[in-house]
Parts: sequence; structure tokens; C-alpha cells
Amino acid sequence: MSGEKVEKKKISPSLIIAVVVIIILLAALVYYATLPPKVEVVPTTIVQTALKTETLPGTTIVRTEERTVVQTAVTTVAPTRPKLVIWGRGTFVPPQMYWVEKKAREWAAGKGVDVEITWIPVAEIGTKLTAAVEAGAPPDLVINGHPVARFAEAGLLLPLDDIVEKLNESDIYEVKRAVCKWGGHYYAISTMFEITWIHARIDLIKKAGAENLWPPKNLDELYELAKKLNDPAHEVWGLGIPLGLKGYDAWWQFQHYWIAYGGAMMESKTPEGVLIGKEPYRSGLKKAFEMYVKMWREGLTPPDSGEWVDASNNQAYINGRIAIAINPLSIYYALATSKPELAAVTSLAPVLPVSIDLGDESCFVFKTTKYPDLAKDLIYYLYKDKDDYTKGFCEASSWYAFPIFKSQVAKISERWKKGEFKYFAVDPAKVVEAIKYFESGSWPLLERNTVCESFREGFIWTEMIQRVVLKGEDIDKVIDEYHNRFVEEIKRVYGGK
Amino acid sequence: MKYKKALYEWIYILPALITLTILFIFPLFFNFWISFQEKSLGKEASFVGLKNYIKVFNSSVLYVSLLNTFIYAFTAVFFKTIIGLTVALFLNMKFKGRGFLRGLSILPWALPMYVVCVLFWFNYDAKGTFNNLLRFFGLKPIHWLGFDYAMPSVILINVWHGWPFFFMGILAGLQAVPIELYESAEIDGASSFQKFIHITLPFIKPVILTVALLSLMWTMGDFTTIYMMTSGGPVDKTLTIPMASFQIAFFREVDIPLAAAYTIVILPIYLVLIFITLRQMA
Repeated sequence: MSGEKVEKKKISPSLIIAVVVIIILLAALVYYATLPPKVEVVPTTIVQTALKTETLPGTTIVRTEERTVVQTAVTTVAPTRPKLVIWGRGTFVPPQMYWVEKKAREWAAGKGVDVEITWIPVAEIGTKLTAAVEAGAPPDLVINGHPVARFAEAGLLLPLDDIVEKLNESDIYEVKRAVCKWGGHYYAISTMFEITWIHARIDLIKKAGAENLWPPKNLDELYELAKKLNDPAHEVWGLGIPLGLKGYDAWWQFQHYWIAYGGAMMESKTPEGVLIGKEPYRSGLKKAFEMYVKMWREGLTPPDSGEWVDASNNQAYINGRIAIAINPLSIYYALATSKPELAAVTSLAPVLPVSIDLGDESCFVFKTTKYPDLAKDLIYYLYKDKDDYTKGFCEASSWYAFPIFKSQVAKISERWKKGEFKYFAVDPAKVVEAIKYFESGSWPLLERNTVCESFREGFIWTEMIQRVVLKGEDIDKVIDEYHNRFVEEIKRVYGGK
Repeated sequence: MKYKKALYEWIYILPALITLTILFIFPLFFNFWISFQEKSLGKEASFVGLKNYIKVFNSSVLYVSLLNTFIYAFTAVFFKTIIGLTVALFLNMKFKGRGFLRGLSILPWALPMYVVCVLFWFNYDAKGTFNNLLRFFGLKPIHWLGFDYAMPSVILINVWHGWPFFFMGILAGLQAVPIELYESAEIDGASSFQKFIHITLPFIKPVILTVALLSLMWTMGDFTTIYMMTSGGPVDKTLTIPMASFQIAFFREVDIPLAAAYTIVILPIYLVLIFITLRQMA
């Protein structure tokens, strides 16, 4: 460099100004990001008799004999209009979403509240809710969504006992109450019964001379009927059996067989309480698998049913590929609205001997909400007018949804007796009353818990079914493996050796 | 002067550095930190040492997903290279309509992956395009996403979507080969095949390697195709690394620290690929 003339560079003033502006902006950003929320201190009432009380600004510490309860005595004062973020599970029947939107906006207008409603597809709502909770930003409340147990058992939800009380607890069916209760409190309210029905083509039954098998009294008779209707040469299969990995239908359809043939999942939330692979329940599950393998090998279901998603058996029935489908009334809803000629030759009968409720969609409120009272009030508003709920949410769905209230189902029964809804082969009230099992719940222990919900949400049961039916693995080996896997999950979530 | 120059340099790279730290370095360290924790949903994390790593190594999911990922990625990249090279050689020749064909070739790559998957839902359907074609030729329909064909079917989608990237890269490489070399070879009596082996291939080899390595990394990390087509099934037939980590985090175990440990375990594979790619590019 010697001898080379080095030109002295000056830092340009505009650069210095730009750097200063950036630093000020960054500092402002950090300042506002770390600013605590504006709060107003509300005088606290001590609700328990205390041995010793210390009062700190905005916080009251109450020492009782057993433990210390810290009651935060601050109320966040919203600088603007309150806003509730609501997530819901998109349903197969749009009128349900229209009704919820209408009710929520009606309520919001009356209360001077803003609502932001997002409908999430069925296969994604569990993932999105879990991610939102982990990110610390769940919605204020969920309407018609799931899963619930994993949040309720983790203590992330607000109790809704007062809402249940106001809606008349005894008017809600026991099965719907049981699956919304944890530790003696209600943390969710079911939005509906989603009853499974056998949809069958009466024209094909008559053509096959199988009227004596309709309606089938049990699953063996259903198999016989499907066999008679099976006509793969003309691309009409006897029964649509969903077996795809990414679908809940594969699980709950098999669940009917698992329970009906005497299988059981758990009797308590302990490793010893798992019954999947224990006799006599093991034989029940084995029989269910054997029936499934038989139906698959005999070709009673379309060969592509191993790839089906939840809508596929609906489509297969609607397109005339299958003569029988087990499904909630979303199939009938689609027929009634877009293919009345097929609706006219479709008859509906309950799945016997076991009827399962698929309606795990519920309303629940996250504790993180800034407006717990508003969120709870909105839930109450949805159900308050029970006639409107039945009409707008249930009947508008062509009874894909059935009301959770006994008084409302009694009214539907009256109407059926007077000649309405004759596509139901039996009184729908009798079918509702017969429901003792729940899709994402355990049995004989009737409750929704994190483990059985995760096995369903994570399609682990579906994988188990695929391994036996599609892959042809040894049934005993598979039962042992999933029994142990369930036990491990119980240990992980609830403890125990 | 020296310090002022250094200050300038740092000021200029500061925005990029901040962005990189926030978007890349911090999440990576967070992932590493959380992999040593135990954490229930919505609760605080607590340190558990190597527990998650032991669980990952004891689980068959790691080995199944690794194998599936290698099958998926290497097969797809192999076919993408062959198709990309063939089409690039063809479209490097001078003929009428070459420009139109070049434009058309890029089309699959220009489509977003989820759109491609939706297209293939219709193609793979029992009564979809492919089965209708098979029926037309008197063949039996195939259950494309069934147990036997799921892996080849998702590979086909990846190849269909990804080959134009190879084509573009290789075509650019071909255009850089000096024409004089071909002319000299012709004078010496070299055949087309000899010209390809001794002139074209050595020249475009670095391009092919770079494109293949980049594509290999992307294909190994492809989530959309598997999620939208099979979700990793039937059973675990198409369970790849991204799908498995997603399942652990949100679907099955609902265990973020375990999923983090899983991603850390497979990280060296990606780091090696990145290292080789960077060296290749340099």
C-alpha cells in the first residue's frame, strides 16, 4: 500500500440519520412489546376465612389450612370494544355454520362486542388448536369443535357449570353430560348428537329379495344383507367400509364392531385398567377384526376404500357405488338437497346392537380469554332458545345433528309419531335414548380423556385397523402391540407403573 | 479508517443479521433447548436431560421414517434428473416452437404443491384419469394410494412437480458449453454419444450435482405432498421425516419436546447435504 494515495472517506450524514432512526424505532418497538397491559385495580373480596391475610397492591393472598390460594384482583380494562376470537369446526352441513354465525353476530350486536369466527376443516382443528395453545394464543372460545379432553385435563379451560345449570342440567342427556365432565365440573357443552344410521338402498334390497334382512337386527345380519347386495361386476358393492388412514370414519365404524362383539377399552385411567388385550374383551376385539378381514377379503367394500377419507363413503353412496353406508345423516342431507330420487329409495335404520354418538363437537372457553363472562354468555345464548337451536342447528341439517336436550328430542318423537320424517325406520327418540357410547370416549368407563382422544385424533386406531385388514398382520400381535401402546400412553399422561 | 470501514460493513449487514437471528438462529436454539425438556400441553417446560433422545432412538418411527425418506427422496431425485436432463438436451436443440415448449415445461413447477396434490386426487381416484386410461387400454384399475402403490404414487407426484427445476438448471448449464468444442470433436469424427459423454457431461456435471443436491434436501423435507395425499399411510408406508415429526408434535403424542429431539437427531443428515452442496456450488 506504500505510496498509494488513500482517499479519506467520511461517514455520510444521511447514513448517520438513518442509523439513528432505526435505533429509535427498534427501541420504541422493544418498549411497546414489553409494556404491561393497562390495568385497573378492582377491590378484592376475600372469599374464604383466612388464618392470615396479606394484601399487596392488586393481589390478595389468602392462607387457608390446606393451601395458599392466590387470587389476582385485577381486571384488564380493554382500551377498545371487546373482541372474541371464535374457532369452529367446519361441518358437512353448511346451515349449521350459518346458524352459529347468525346467532353469534346477533348476540355480539346486542352486547356491543366484536366477534371473529374462523371455521377450520375437520381434520385440522385438533392440530391447529394444539399449536395455538402451545404458542400461547388460543382462541377465546371454540364453538362446535374438538378435541376437548386434552385441554380440559391440562386445566386450560374454564368451568361451565353455571351455564349447564341455567340450561337445566337434567334436561341434557346423561351421555352428553358424562363426556363433558372432568373432576366433577363441566368444561364443555356438546353441540349435538351425531347418530350413526345405516343408509340402505331399498330398491336394491327389494331387487335382491332381501326384505327379510331389513332392518338388520345385528352386525351379522348386516353382513348377510351386504353380501346379498354385493354386485362388483356392476360396480355396486354391498357395504362401504372406510379404511383410509386420514379419516375418523374408519375408526368409529370399526368401534361399532369392537363394542358389539364384546371388546372393551378401559375401566380406569391406570395401566391395569386398560382392557384392550385382556380376556374376555380381547376375544371381542379379535372377533371384530375377523369380521372386518372377512368382509375385506370377500370384496364387500370397494377396493379403493383403503384410501378413503371421511367424505369418501358419502360420495360412494351418493354416486351409487355402495348399497349400504353407515354414517351420520350427512349422506341423507346431501341426498335430500341434491339427489331427491336417491333419497326416495333410501331408508335409515339404527346400527344394532350398539349405537354410538359421533357428536364430540363441543363449545368450550380457554382460560386465557380476556372476556370469560362474555364468552360464557355467548355459549348460553346459543342454547338458551332450545326451539331455535333445534330448528336452526339440528333440523336445518336434516337431523345430521340431534338436540342434546331431552325435551327437544321428545318433541321430535311426537312429530315422527304424527307422520313426519318417515325415512326413519324407527322412532328417532328411541335411537337417541339407546346411545351409551361415544366416538372419542372410552368404554366401559364412559368419559373422554386425553389418551383415548389422542388415539382417535391421531388416527392411531385407524392405523391399527389398517395393519390387520390391509396389511394382513397377525391379529394377536397387533392387539398386544396396541394394548401396550395404550398402556404406555396412560402411564405417560396419568402416571402409574 | 480501518475501524470506520469495519463499522460501515457491520451497519450494512446488520439488517440481514437481525433477520437471520430472529428467523433462523433463535428458533434453532429454541428447538435444541426444548428437546431436553419435558412439557405438557400449555404448561411450563422442565429439564429431563436425554430422555427424549433415548425415546427417539428406541422408537421404530425413526428408522421407518428415515428409510421411507431415503426411498422417497433418492428415487424422486433420480427420476427428476433423468427427465430434466433428457428434456434439457432435447430443448437445447434448435427447432421451431422450442421457446413455447420451454415455457410449457416450466408449468408443473410453477404450480403450488397443494394445487398439484388436488390435481392428483382426481387422477388417482378409483374413477379418476389414470384408472380411466387403464380401463381404456383394457387393463385393471390400480388403487394408487393403496398399500402397494402409495409410495410410487407420491414419488410420481414429486417427480411430476419437480423435474422442470432440473430442466432449467441443466439447460442453463448446456448453454454455457462452448460450441467450438463440439465443432472440434466433429472434425475428429466423434459420434453424438461420444460428444455427450466427453464434452457435455463433464461440463454440466457440476450443475447436475448442485441441482440434485438442492432438490434432495427439498424432497427430504417435503411435507405437503405426503400430508395431502396419504398422511404417511397406509399404515406407515409413506411416513417420512417431516410427516413423522408433525405427527409426534401435534397428532399422536402431542409432545413438542419429543418432536424437537426427533428433528435434532436427523439434523446431521441435512447438515452434511448442505455442506456438500455449498462445496459443490463454491
